[in-house]
Amino acid sequence: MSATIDEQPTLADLLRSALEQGATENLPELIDAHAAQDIAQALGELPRHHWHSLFERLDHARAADVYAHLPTEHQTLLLERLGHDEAIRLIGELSYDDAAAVLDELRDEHAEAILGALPQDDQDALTALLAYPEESAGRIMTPEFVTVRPEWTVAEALDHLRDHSEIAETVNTIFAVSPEGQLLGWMRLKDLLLSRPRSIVGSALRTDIVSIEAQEDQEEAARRISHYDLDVLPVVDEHGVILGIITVDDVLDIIRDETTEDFHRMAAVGDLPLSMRDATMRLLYRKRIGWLVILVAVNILSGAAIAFFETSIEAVVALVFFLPMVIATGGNAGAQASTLMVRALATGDIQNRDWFRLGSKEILVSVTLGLSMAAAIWLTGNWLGNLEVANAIAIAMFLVVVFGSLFGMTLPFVLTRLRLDPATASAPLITSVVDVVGIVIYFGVATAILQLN
Amino acid sequence: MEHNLEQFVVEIQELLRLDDRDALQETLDFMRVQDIAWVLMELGGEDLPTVFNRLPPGRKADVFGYLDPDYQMRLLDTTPRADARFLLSEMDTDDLTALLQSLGEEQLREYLRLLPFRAIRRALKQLNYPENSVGRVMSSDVVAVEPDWSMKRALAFIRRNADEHSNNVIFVVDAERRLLAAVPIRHFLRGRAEDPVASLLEESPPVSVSVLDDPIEAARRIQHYDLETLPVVGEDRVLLGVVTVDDVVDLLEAESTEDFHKMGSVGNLNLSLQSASPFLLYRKRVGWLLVLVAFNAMGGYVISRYEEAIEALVALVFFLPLIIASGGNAGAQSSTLMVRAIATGEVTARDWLKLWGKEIGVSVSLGVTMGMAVSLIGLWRGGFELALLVAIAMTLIVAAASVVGMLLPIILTRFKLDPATASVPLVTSLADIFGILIYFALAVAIFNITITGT
Repeated sequence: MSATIDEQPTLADLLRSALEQGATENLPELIDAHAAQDIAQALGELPRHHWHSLFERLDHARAADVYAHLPTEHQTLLLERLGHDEAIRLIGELSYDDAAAVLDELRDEHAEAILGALPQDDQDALTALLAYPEESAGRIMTPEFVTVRPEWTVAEALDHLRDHSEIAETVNTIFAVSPEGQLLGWMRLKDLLLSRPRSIVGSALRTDIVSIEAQEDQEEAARRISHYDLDVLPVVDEHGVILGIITVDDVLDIIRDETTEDFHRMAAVGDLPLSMRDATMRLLYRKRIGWLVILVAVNILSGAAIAFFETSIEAVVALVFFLPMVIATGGNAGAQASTLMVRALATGDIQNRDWFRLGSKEILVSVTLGLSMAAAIWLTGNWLGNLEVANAIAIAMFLVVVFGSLFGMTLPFVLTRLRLDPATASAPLITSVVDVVGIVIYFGVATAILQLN
Repeated sequence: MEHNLEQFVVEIQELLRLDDRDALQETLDFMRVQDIAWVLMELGGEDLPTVFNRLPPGRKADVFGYLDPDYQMRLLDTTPRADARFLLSEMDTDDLTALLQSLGEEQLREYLRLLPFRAIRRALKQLNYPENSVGRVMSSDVVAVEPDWSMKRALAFIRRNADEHSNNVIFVVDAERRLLAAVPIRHFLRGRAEDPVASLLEESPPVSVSVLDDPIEAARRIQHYDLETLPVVGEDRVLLGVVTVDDVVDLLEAESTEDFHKMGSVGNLNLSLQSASPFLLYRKRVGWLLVLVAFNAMGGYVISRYEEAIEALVALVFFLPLIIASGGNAGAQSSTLMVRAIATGEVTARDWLKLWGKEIGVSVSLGVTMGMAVSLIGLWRGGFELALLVAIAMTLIVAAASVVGMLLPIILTRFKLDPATASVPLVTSLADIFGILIYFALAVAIFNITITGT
């Protein structure tokens, strides 16, 4: 990961100073010199009160282009600041999948007002998209595609594409359909352009279609596109009728969002709908406090476990010195194991049925790790305590590390079996559970070896 | 789909057991090459070459390209030289480079000998680019046309020379192969076949990436500009190759995996978890565990300084794990949020001041909530003074750990280190030490315990 630390003024800095110093004559020049994607990104870095004034200075076509490249949350925020007419114009310029995403984020009455003001066919298309469940393939597809009929000649097909290529998101891959809209085959534009004009489209069609049903998960769509190296994935209903397409550039966004979600879950943070920069304090608080409180409940058990061994502590206070070391190490080993498993399950590197094979490997790994850590703490034990104490804590360390590792590797599999997200086996959850069990093992072993009862 | 692929594995294993060649052939004919590759890697072992050899020669090369390098090596070792030569010479250049760079010196020489002369030159050239550069991951068989060609000639040329999964963008170069334009193939719909390619050119130069750039930069550009193909140029904008969006998917996945592992304090694993040996896994994990135990030993040392406090009031120990663990959890949340936000480019190091203000607000409110929650338990277990102690300690520790968890990735970035080094276990261990210090210092103050020191 290379985070760039630019000390040079960024586009955002330049735009900002142009807007603030009223040096607005520089603005058109700046805007013309940069791609719409770059302006969209810079806009996100500007203070909110500049958004509107910057937008006012873009001409209509440019404004629509920049708007289309903003992340959904910024599109929504900006829309709330713009006048009704301008909002409708911008939404009308978006492709349907992006427009649906924005409307979904708006307050219901606002979304309805905008939707109602759009032309009837746009309304129908957007209502249809919004009816699919969230995170489904149907929600992220765009109905803007062109199809041809297999009985057409190549010349007819090309004429049709010429007439419709502007409204389609992509024409690189062309789908052929029956009169009912059923998907029959596909071909590349490249090949169509090179076919003899009077030949029949059907003769050059390829029938090895990969498609996805609209109800399926968008993650599955991403996986299919990357697994089969597709440019375009057609979305169909249960009868094989084509409803829309998902293009490869959508996949990168899905993958990024899913990965971020996994990262956050691994750290026991709830799903954040906004970027870190835009999230309010309240939102961050709400997404974090839930798991923290649940984990406190687990940690209270560790307090209870310690209280149970009160007499042992009173007999040898030195035991307490090593307690955090032992349970923290067990937790760390568990966090390592669960991280490895969660990521490997997410990338498809391993499947649920690999559990046994990986389990036996993990036993070997955790035993060797346990021995190494036991040796390390045995030395510390001699330093802060005595030989007897050192022996006891070394044995406890070994057991706790082995337990932590095995627990950390097993929990993601168990969660997958229960059809839950394996990333719920977050590092904090693993650490907290290992704390409780670790305390019991630690004092149990110490009490037995040092004969404290 | 995942489900179907699993079924294929079971079905093929069964057919192999029954030695039913015809049925196996039929199943394989029905499958796509990407699926066959996936199933082969799942089968592994003896079955890998057995099934692979049943494929017709044309599909062999396609399937081979989709295998991971270590499986490709295993197959090459069991194939006759003539077949190996065929497989290697049919590979896409980016896949070939990936395979060759994972070989040892001696093996590399042996495999290179199997290649035709032109391919050797090209492979060596790609291996000459620095590790972790675009040159290592690009595909160097890129087809380009010249501006004075007719559109018809250009299309025919592309069709003859470009392989199956290339591109929906046609590159236009001058006589010195300097990149002039990248024309989406849909533009060929406009205009007549006899018109020169030059009539389609736009004024703005195409987005490209330098052959020496970090591959992640190529990924970022493809993502940022919504491209399917990104041209790679050398000195003087000479077109050298192309990076496609499917390469980027793999690159980003590998990058995220590395970040995940770092966040879990696991060293850099180049292999898949499937193929990693227990010894490798041990080595990648033990290092950080030992470093962290050293941190924890400091925590132990701090506790030993407060032995008298514990002897005076054993109940202090009951709340210790609760409080330090909560601090660690809150710190882990902050560091993970920051690390991911830096990785996706949402946040840059210059934003830290703004985020810091927000984090203080969040962490203080988290601390207060948690403090109130535990004070009730303190009241129940040990009375008013203990409740006061755990409430204040919890608030301070949760707030401090959150702020540290948020700052650490930013500081690491400032020093040009990887922010993901601020792993969950590291932040937790740091929070433990600070937590113990704060907790006992407060306890001594509130309960007026005298520490004589030893």
